[in-house]
Amino acid sequence: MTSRLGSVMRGLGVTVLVALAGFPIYWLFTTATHTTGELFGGHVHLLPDLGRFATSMRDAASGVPMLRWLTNSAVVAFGTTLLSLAMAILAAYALSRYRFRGKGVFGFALFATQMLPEALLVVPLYSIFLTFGLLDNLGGLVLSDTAFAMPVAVWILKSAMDGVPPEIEESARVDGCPRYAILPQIVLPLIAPSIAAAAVITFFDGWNEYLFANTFITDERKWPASKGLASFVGEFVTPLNHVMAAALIFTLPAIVFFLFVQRRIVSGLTAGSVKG
Amino acid sequence: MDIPAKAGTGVEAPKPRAHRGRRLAPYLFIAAAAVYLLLLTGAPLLDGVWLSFTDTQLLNPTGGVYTGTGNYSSLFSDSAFVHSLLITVIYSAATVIGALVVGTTAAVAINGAFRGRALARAILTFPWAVPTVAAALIFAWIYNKDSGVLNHALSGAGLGGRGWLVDPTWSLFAVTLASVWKVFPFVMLVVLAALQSVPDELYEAARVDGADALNRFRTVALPFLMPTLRVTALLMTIWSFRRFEVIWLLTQGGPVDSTNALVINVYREAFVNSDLGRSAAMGVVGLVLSTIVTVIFFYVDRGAARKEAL
Amino acid sequence: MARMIRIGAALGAALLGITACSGGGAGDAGPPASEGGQLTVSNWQWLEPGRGDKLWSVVEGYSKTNPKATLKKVSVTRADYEKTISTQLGARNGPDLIVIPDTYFGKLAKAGLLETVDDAVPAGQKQALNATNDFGKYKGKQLAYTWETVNYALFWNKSLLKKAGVQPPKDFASLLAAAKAVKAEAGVPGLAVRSQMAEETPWWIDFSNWPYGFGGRWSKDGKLTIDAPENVQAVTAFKKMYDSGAMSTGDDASTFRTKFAQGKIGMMIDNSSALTTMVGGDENPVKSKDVEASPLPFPTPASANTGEWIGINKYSKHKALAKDFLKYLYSPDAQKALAAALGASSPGTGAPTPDAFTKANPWAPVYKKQTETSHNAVVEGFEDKTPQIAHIVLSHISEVLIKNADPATALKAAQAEASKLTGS
Repeated sequence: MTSRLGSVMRGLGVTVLVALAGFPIYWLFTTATHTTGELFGGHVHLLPDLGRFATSMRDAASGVPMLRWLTNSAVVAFGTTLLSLAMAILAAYALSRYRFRGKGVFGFALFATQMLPEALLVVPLYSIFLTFGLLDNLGGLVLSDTAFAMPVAVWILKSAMDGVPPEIEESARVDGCPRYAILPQIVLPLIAPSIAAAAVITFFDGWNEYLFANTFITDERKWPASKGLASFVGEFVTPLNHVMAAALIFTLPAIVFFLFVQRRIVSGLTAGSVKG
Repeated sequence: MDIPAKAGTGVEAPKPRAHRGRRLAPYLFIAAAAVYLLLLTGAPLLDGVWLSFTDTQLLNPTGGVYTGTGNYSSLFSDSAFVHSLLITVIYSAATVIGALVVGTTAAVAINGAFRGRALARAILTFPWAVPTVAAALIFAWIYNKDSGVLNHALSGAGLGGRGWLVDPTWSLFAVTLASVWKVFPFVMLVVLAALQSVPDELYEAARVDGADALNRFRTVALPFLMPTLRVTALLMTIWSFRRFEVIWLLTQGGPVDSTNALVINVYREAFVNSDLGRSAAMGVVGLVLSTIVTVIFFYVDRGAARKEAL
Repeated sequence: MARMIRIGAALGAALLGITACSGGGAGDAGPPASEGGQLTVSNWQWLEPGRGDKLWSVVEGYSKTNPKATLKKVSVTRADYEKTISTQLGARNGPDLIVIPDTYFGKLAKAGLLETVDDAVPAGQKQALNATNDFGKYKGKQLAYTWETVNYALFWNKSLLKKAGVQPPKDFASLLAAAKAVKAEAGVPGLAVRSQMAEETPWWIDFSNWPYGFGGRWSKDGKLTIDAPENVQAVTAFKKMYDSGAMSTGDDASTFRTKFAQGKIGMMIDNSSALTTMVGGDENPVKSKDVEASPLPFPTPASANTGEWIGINKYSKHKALAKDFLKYLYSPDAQKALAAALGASSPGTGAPTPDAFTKANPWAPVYKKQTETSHNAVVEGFEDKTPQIAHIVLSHISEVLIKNADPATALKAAQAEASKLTGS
């Protein structure tokens, strides 16, 4: 009885949440599928014009190198994710499992990286990137985006590792698992969901980053999608339906792809686990 | 300020005769991240602190002259600046609480198997994935005084429309709502991951004991989630102090300074007025605010960890 | 290890700014123009649908006169333009040629980041330069030439005014009456102009039409005149319009411009480039022939203008080449092509707008004529402080509009605050 009531309650909760959080997305979609005349004609069109979907997408993508922008963003986003996770997993393990001198300072420093407004970072970083020849370089964007994304990943993973009882590691070692294999084979599979969450978060940090991209990349062939999308915002008039259609083109493939990959990450990591 | 390892997981301090490699291990683990951050954020951070004591101009960032605490004293004698600190605190508190409540609720709601879960999850992740410029445009469009869907709905319900972004009574609320929408998926994703690590046996035991869903969440899941929630709350707070794009794109701090958060001033000083020194001083004030919150967090976290250990 | 030390040293140097000059260095003219090379040219207008490509092809025309030169666009959106270019120039990097908005020129000139270009355009060609080029002078030296000047005027949807049964307004009282009539008869806003702090920089230029039209200025003879009686009259008039219920107060410019093009706004005070964009599309029911324009319906014929100037980055590695480019750009042929690409706005010479454009856009001559009495929104004598002054003044005007503050008191407060800022 309780359980049925519970699931009804949850169904209701999910529906309400999805409806509220989903409304701006629905509205973005609806706006993308109407003509300017319909949007500004004085009536509110509550339903998307599904028949126009393909046309609006084509219109938005016409005359701009959409595929190239998406590819560039993908490079930046994947680079950021991989680099962030690689460093974060190691650092998180140290924070979770060891006591060492300077641990507090390091932990605080991770938060400190999140404190400085971009406005103050972009000037010195530009200077550093100029010196190292990293301007107009997607690799440079990976480096700057990782500086922000990685500390967040460290904390997500550290919290997750804190939840893994050390007894599991002990018993694995007793079972003959070599020390270097503990982290990849015992700990990581157990925190697979958190790794996946950190991956989603860092991925979209890189995918959407705009300020550094705008300042560091001037070569149009290297623009990421975020900068491409901003170029739809005109000096005189911003075509709302085109911007929204472009926003969907930039967001949907990434999100679909990512949800698919996320499942693979979790199942892949879990499959390799040695049950403690 | 040492971070205590969570209760029960703390590996005891290295024994005096511990293997040298064992003592070096944590440093090797953090080496890459530490060097990386030192170069890419440590250097700009120090640079920013230095700039705040100079009269540096954006167009000549190396030509600043040391002016002592001049920037700071001029800031704190400026009532508009003090007002912007207040706006920052209100905006941050509301955004953090909003994002934590919505994010945690969403995570609990979609944890477990049900039909349409993948879709629900995709929709709930979308706000995080959508570029901020598109999010700001869609909210401005929803909020539009004459043609926005929100005012149409309100008028339809007989409540009458409001100037969401042009009326100072509502602007901060409108901007906060848009911010919560944009960031709650972060909380959701992190909490969801933590929930999935809650051992099933614990839930089973509680179920056998006859606890209802709410009680099971409170007694089983919540203690498990607390460390994660605390870190998330801290990150959310720090981010709120410096979240810029949403506010700038929706209101640029207006109308009549009602959304003029600290970070808007940082941006305006640096990029509109080209006064990098003053901008840096404002940034450092934000930094101090964040540091205070972080220190409080470490104390609370330590205390909580002790309590949980009992 | 040696590598680490090198990296550390380079990093330290970068922080101290020692090696920040990877560009040509301020004194170096670069290789002669005949050797060619690549020139980067920054402008947000490259992104403009339609006009962007036309303007760029004028720039690219240079490679016909100098085949060894190649040109490369640097496109930054209007909203991010100044901050992006400033960050790049501050590091002694950035584009070779910069298209500079009027409100930005003072800062670049004062910071010494622009190369003197007196010698770039030969004397024979200089005669063609019009008076707007004087704005590009700083301390007696020409630092930039006019790229474009854009005027403001009043324009309206002919059929909406007819429907409302009103004549085009000639003074403020009839403007207000006409706006109310349009609202009453057609149920759409009678007038749309910017009024939001969220669009601070462009609002400043738009708003300057009101004080200028009422005979005021932001400064005179090196003194701020923000609280001059003419300006108070202008703000009082604006407030009357704002409160009339006949003006669109909730829309940003992009929204009300789109509405005008959809036939949902009666009248506007806006610049010619915006009008060209609004009526130029394929989907909009309001076309160029449906629109008429007149000088502003204010006591004096003065109005605001806005514009951009083009200058050379002092730290460019190709200064000689960039100067040769300017010589090309101010040749009669290039100016003719530029005038054609610009449309209703004017280049820095008397190059005429093509007849075909004027024929298709009968309102264009009204705009052109405004050149005689228009003035830009930069605060004379306080050029590099204009953004701060604009922020102060508009903040106080917002108080008038939203919180019903008294216009005279508000402008007085703005005058005091701005005087404190400028130390005058």
